Amino acid sequence: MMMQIEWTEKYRPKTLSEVAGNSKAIAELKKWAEDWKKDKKAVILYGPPGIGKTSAAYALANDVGWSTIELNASDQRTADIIKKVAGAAAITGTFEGVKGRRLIILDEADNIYGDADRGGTKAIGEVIKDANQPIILIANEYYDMSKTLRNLCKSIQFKPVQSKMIVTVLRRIYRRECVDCDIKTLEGIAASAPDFRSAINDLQAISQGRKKVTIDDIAVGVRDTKESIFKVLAKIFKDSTPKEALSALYTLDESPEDFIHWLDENLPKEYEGKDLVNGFERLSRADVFLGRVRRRQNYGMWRYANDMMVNGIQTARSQVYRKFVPYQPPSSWRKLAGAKSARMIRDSVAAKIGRHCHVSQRYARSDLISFFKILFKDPKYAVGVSALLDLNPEEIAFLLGAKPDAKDVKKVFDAARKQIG
Amino acid sequence: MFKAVINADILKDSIEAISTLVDEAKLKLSKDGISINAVDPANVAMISFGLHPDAFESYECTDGEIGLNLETLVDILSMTERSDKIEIELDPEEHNLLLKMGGLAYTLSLIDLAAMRKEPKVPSLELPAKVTLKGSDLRLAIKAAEKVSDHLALGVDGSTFFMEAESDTNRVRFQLTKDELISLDASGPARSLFSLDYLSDMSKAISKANEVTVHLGKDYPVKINFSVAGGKGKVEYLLAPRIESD
Repeated sequence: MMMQIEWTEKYRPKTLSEVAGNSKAIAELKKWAEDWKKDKKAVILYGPPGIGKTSAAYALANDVGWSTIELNASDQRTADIIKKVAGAAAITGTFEGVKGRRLIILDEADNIYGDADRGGTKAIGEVIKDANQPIILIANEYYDMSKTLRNLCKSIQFKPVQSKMIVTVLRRIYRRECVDCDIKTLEGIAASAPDFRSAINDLQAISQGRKKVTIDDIAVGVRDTKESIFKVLAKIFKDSTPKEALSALYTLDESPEDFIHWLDENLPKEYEGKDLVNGFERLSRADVFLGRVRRRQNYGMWRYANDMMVNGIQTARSQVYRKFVPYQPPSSWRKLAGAKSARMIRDSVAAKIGRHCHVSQRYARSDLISFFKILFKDPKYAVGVSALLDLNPEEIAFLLGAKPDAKDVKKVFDAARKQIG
Repeated sequence: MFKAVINADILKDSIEAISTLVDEAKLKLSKDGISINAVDPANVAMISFGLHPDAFESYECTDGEIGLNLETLVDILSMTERSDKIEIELDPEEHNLLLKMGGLAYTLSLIDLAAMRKEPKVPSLELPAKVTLKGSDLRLAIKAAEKVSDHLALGVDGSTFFMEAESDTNRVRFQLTKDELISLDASGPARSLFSLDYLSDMSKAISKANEVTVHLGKDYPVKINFSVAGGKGKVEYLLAPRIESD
């Protein structure tokens, strides 16, 4: 059986001038290739999927006459293999000699963490440092890559493409494939696809076995888009139908237990006066349901909590508030995180005291720490005790009631170190 | 159609010479024999291999191309004695290669050709120096370099063939004059740097050859030719030079 060639491969641009959109990024990429000789810096191309990053890399290689090798997520990318393949490729000339250039393309470079071998990212860093050949890293999320990698490379951003641009590309393809198709249909495809790759795949899927394609054939369906939590909040607080708001919440990967904190944080920023009172009334009712879910382990009742949180809050307002509100993550979470680290320091102090005094950590925590705090008021004791218990600066700061970077803490710590010798 | 009988040691030596560089390869089958052109995943080393029908006890074949997983094949061949005879038959319907050896019958599934990497273009290179020496001598040079560094230089200076390797603290030099070599023919000096990772892998197959021909240039790839299966099989390695970091 003949395998169908994917159009996305068949019509991959051959030269940079054929790469659609992102002209600024393309120009930067060209410049990078010209400067590479003296700079020898690797480059990161980042941006959403399907908009031409990989195509641009290959087109560039073709334009300047570099040969290419690619390592992508379908290869096993353990530290060993990265070093062996990319490492060897990066320090070796080509079959044309040492002056021959070979472009190393590491696709999905933000996705190496998940691999079996955690040394992958480190290995890439080493390869880049020693490289004598050009390297392009391709990623969707710039900040999903380690800071080391980001600092080693120049970076070029690829931005999402406009649907007008997608239509242009689709037109080029359907003409060559001899599919009969009008501009309305292409616009329809482009409107429902966020990028080149999905649009081209849709076009190919629709024209499978057809000679003529019309707008009615577009039944590709609506893509599931994951809404950000901020958008969902906006849908609830601002103007949208109850159904819209509720289904937006369902696309969100967030449990009602967590989501209620988001509402709790941001509700008072939106609503005013009586509306705010009513809003919190509904929110507390939602919380009652969440409590019942937890007690009775009947998760079916989450839906009542959701209704209260979304539609309850929507109906609590007497007007739509037009002002812009920067939504924020629950501050209670931040406080909890802060409290957690404080607790951990307290516990480690208690453990050290307990060990020295032959009492349990719990007893040390509840009965002895307060005495040590009093002892620490006298610098002489503070130093002696710190040395005896081998306390670190955070623990000293805790007993002194000061900040870890305070001068007093450092003084005590250094003196204690000296005593330990 | 492909049906052949071959001695286990010939097949073993041939496949091992290839599998040090690539895990899978496209085999071109024809009445003139079997040939393979393959390049390693990093695009640094290339192998061209040819096996003449005379290397087989019996050989019947029509033109064709198959994709083979060499790692599996090498693994299977380790089950044989060197003197065993192996019957090979292609089952194109089922997409399988059948191997019979002694009482064992293996069925090896082929790799879809469309899913394989493209075959490399064999570049035409003009390399000014040509040295012929014993395979064991070249192996010695490579082994000596391994003790010191991860790369070595091969070259020709006047009528001497030399190997040099150095690390930050240590160095080694190995040289053979024209009299100690089988032949030396150079139109000018040659010297290029190579990664030992690759040469070490190649040296196993090289050491078995009585005669190895090495083609060298200045900062150019090295071409290493030798024969297997008593002259009925030919191996050519091409290795890209390492870039000297400044």
